[in-house]
Amino acid sequence: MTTLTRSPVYHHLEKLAVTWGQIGDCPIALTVGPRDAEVSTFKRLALCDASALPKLGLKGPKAEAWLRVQEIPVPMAMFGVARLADGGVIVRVASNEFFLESGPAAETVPALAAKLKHEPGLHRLTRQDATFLVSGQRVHEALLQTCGIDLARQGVNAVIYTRVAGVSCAILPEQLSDQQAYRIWVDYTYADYLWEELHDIMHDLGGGIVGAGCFYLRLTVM
Amino acid sequence: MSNRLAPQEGELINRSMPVSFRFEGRSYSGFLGDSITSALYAHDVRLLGRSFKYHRPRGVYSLAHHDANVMVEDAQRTNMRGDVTPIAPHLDVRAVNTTGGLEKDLLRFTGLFSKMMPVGFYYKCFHTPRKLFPFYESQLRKIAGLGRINPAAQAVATPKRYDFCDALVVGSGPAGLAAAIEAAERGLKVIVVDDMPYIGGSLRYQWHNDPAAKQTLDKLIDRARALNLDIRTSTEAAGCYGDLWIALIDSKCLTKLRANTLIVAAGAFEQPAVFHNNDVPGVMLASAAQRLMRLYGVRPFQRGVLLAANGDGYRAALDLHGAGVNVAAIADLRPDGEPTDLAQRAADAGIPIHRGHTVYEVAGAGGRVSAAALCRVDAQGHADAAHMIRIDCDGVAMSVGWAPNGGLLYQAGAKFTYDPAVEQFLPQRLPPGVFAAGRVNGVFDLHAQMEDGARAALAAAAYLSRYAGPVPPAVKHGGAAPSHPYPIFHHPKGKNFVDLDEDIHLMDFVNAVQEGYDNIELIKRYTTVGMGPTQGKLSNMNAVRILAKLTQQSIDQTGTTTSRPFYQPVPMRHLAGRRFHPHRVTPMHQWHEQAAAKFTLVGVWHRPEYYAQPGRTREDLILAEAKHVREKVGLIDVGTLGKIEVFGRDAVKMLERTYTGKFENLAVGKTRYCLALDESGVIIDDGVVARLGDDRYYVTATTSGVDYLFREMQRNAMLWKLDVGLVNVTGRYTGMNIAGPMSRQVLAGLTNVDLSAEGFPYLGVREGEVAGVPARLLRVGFVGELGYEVHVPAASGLAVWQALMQAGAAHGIAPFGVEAQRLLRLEKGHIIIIADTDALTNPIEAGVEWALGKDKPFYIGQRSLDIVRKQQLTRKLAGFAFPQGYAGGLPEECNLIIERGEMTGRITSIAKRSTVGPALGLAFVRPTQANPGTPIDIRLDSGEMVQAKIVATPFYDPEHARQKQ
Amino acid sequence: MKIITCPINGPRPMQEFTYGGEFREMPNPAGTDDAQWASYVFHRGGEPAVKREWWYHIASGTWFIAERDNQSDQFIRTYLYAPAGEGK
Repeated sequence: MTTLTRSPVYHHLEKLAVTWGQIGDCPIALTVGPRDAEVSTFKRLALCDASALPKLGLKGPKAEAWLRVQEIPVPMAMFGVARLADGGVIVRVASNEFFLESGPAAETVPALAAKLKHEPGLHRLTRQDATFLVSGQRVHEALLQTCGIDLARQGVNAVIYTRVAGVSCAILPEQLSDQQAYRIWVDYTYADYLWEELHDIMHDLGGGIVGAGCFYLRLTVM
Repeated sequence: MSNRLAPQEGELINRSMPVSFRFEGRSYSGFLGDSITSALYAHDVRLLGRSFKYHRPRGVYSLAHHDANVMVEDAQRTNMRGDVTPIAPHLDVRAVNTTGGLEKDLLRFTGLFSKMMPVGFYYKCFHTPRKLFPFYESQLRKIAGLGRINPAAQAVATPKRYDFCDALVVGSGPAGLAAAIEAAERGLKVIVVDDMPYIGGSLRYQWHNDPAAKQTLDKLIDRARALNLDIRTSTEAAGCYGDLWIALIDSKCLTKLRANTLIVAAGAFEQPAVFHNNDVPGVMLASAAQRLMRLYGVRPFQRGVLLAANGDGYRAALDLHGAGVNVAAIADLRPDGEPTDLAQRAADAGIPIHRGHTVYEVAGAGGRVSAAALCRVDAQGHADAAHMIRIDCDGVAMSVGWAPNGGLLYQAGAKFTYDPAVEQFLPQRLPPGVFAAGRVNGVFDLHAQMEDGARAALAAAAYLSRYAGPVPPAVKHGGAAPSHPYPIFHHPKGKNFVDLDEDIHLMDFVNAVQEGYDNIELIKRYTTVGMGPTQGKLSNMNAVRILAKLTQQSIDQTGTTTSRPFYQPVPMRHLAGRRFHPHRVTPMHQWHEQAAAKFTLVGVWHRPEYYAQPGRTREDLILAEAKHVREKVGLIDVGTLGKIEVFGRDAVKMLERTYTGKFENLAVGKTRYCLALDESGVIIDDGVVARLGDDRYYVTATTSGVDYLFREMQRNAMLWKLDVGLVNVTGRYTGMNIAGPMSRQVLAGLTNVDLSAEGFPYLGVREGEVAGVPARLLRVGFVGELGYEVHVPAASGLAVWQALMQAGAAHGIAPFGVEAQRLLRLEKGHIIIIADTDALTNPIEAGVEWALGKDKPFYIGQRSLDIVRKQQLTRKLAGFAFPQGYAGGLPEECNLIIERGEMTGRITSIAKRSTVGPALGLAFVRPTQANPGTPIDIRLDSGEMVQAKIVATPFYDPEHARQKQ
Repeated sequence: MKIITCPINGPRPMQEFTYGGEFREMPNPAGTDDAQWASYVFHRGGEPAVKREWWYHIASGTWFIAERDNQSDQFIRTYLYAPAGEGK
């Protein structure tokens, strides 16, 4: 199968002992290294690349109504989040703008993307954000070394726009595989930098890189 | 000989864990928990350092590094404070600032000449002749100085972190612990820091001769433990910045703590008395003697004199007596002595008490106290040297008063005033969210301190709306003042030190005031009092008292110097920490790396400057890359270009008002150059507007200008009340420009877009697929050849780039970098914003007047240009070239153009070699010089003058025929 | 480091923001003489006062107005811009 799209940190993962899967036409690292080591890293402090999850943006006065017609749950609060049927999320990023990211089943966003056309009042936006997941017992210490706000005290079910290691990011605190995790969305062209910084800090704290399989048990090897 | 006492209750050392270390090349043993100072003192090593200027012997003074007497260095680190540096098995240190070792320091006689070196001596003597100054400086630096930096020391990676809490309590003494417990019980997230390695503050070693004190401390610690309080010892609150952003320093890193409230219970620094030889090892603060005994089980001296001006002195005397020290006398500065029963208790212990007396001088040869001389103090506070009582002793302890440890409070914005009831500065007006408790707040009684701590915590909780009950009033000090108003005594021989860091005696202040430096900030700078490593912890208060007396002002009128961060010196590596330097790379970055690209930083982006090849120079390769584009086909990564989507009903209005050109008549499928100005008419950005649909535009902007431009567009859309959607898609789309005569053939095999000259003419835009990826194609002419910018979603960028390289292989496609592009555009006379323009360049000067739309109702900068047009043009951007075959020196960018000795302009861009032949470039010149054919004289970096001629632009293909094919 | 309260994102450290200059109403360019226009473009009031200022929260792309006492450097309040007559 052809892989036309790539995570911005693919070249970092390529060097590791990775089991690859694929979402759409984008490779995703399912496991990294031996299973036991990966599980212990996952519990302690883990960094994971989930950039392959399909994404879509839409903006305009008619965006909300269109989403309702498609039976997508629409979060009402600014930066509020709702869950998509495939395990993904929808975020209200502005009063008339939404950002959607599918879960690993990658059903909802591709289906919507196929239907969504430009029309007056409804504009389709390309989203190319990298998606990083960080979690584990020492995750707060890692975040304290990169973030100027107290993420441990932020509300749930809302995205936080802030700086991580000097780069603007959107962060979603969530529970994944029974662990407190943080989903970090960052601009594709800053992602390589941010990955390296996060990796350095987490490495110093005894953490490391894990595959997306740690968070998404449904993902299977292609 | 060992000075170790029997085990003390609560001591810090573990006597079952001996540790040996080296000091000045000799091996010593101590116990786990000892500091360098305490371990050496236990071996009766009293000479622990040399002073900064006169190399006088120095020893234990505060034992809390409130003095800088004990500073040591090893191979890696310097200026470590012996008082707080724990001993460790491989520790091998020496004293700083000696020549030939601590004991035999060759400079130890410098002090004999101190009479000849009053303050200001350096300023007055070593300025002429000027050419000798470097010599003076190097000699003085050898004498006066601290530790040496080892340039070969290894860099240590140091993290840096943030932290957050509701209440930061500074100080873990009785007031601090009581505050922390109260705050935690009110549900606040509390952090307690203490710069010492133990919990308890003064309660750990000043027991007030009260057996219950130890139980009080244990109870406080038990309650703190039960609440799981976050107490960080050996951690100092080093500085307080805006909105309670507090720098915490521990041995590992800097923590930037954001506290919602700050409770300062940092206590007070015990202050020294000023008398002759008050720095001889063996003279120490009473609290230092108590620290030695209680914390480390070390006897301070065998037979000593206690200089007292408060009850604390009597308690210390009783402590010393209890530890087996022969207390030969208490000299009490107060004529009436101690008013409480402590006086009787001291007398009962057999300690002679001399009321109204001071220690006038200390005798101490070889760096060891041998005797103290006591004198009566008269009603004016002068010592009566006519009647001296000489007491043989090996130690003098001073307990004459306290100064608040209020640095953080000052930095937070607190105002202090002098309170005669305690003879101390007290915080009067505290900023919102900031509270003080304990000694820093003038509260000295143990139970009152705890009460004051709890009160401060309740006030903090109330401030955070976490407590609605009553907050009790502040606790007031009762009884005699704990500090003496003037424990300072003149001596004809001087050496009555006010500042031990800087070797400043009392006379230096008299001289400074006589010379007119009679303001506290001036006297600080002239005498350097308080400017040493301890920042005046033990000298500022006495300096204020001295200046007040000399100028006959009150203490409040005299004021204090500004208290600045840091509380103690901070290692550079803590400040540096892990530094974040965000940068961006395009999706094709890995490809460029593999293709041996040399990268250059453009704004925050890494861009290929050119692609290296073995055995070829940078200049050759850049020219070859450019020629390849002219002759065949090249591919350049333009992913860094700013990209903005503009859509909605008012999209065209947005563009019309943002840019100088007209866009109402731009057809769908067409692009147009766009130029943006600021309100003063200065060029700030340019790019291309592409119309994708009826109300959909795709706009490119400069790499470094797009963030600013986009922000302005967002703000203006609000101000102009436009129904428009704006999205900065710079990172979402990447771009590549395939340019050169063969570009159409290469692209044709990869896209479903009709590339024919009729189907997709110059300046057109099309949406379609390239290599199976949805793409936006723009026909642009920046480099002056047939070319297509291909914009695709970032994650597909690499695949499309690879497909183009593969498809182009048959046509000899080659990548080119940003330097070749700069050359190609320069040959076309295209300006680059900020390179060819500066912060004042208007479009008329820059020669882009053609981009200004006529008959437009409004665009930003339009009104200012109306004014600019009425003024005389002062400069003009023009092309210049050197003659074919010219072989002389060539200018660099920013070299000046000179006309009859006057600067008339500068080079903005230069290509020393070009595909059209000669060296050419753009320059700002006088309008009178701007006509083609005019010679211009350019001054090179070397000073040499060279001549070029103004030439009409474009230098290459003036008809633009090639890009329009 | 100061804290600025973004009306959308709440209190954040100052490094998350960009200053956007003093809030000023642009005069009608057509009805303004050259001197008045130049004054609008170039002159800023630096006197001690509570200033209305533009601030921008970078990560979320939010412009807002802050009232700041430039003498005490205290932010008095912050709110989203609303055109005149439409309330705050």
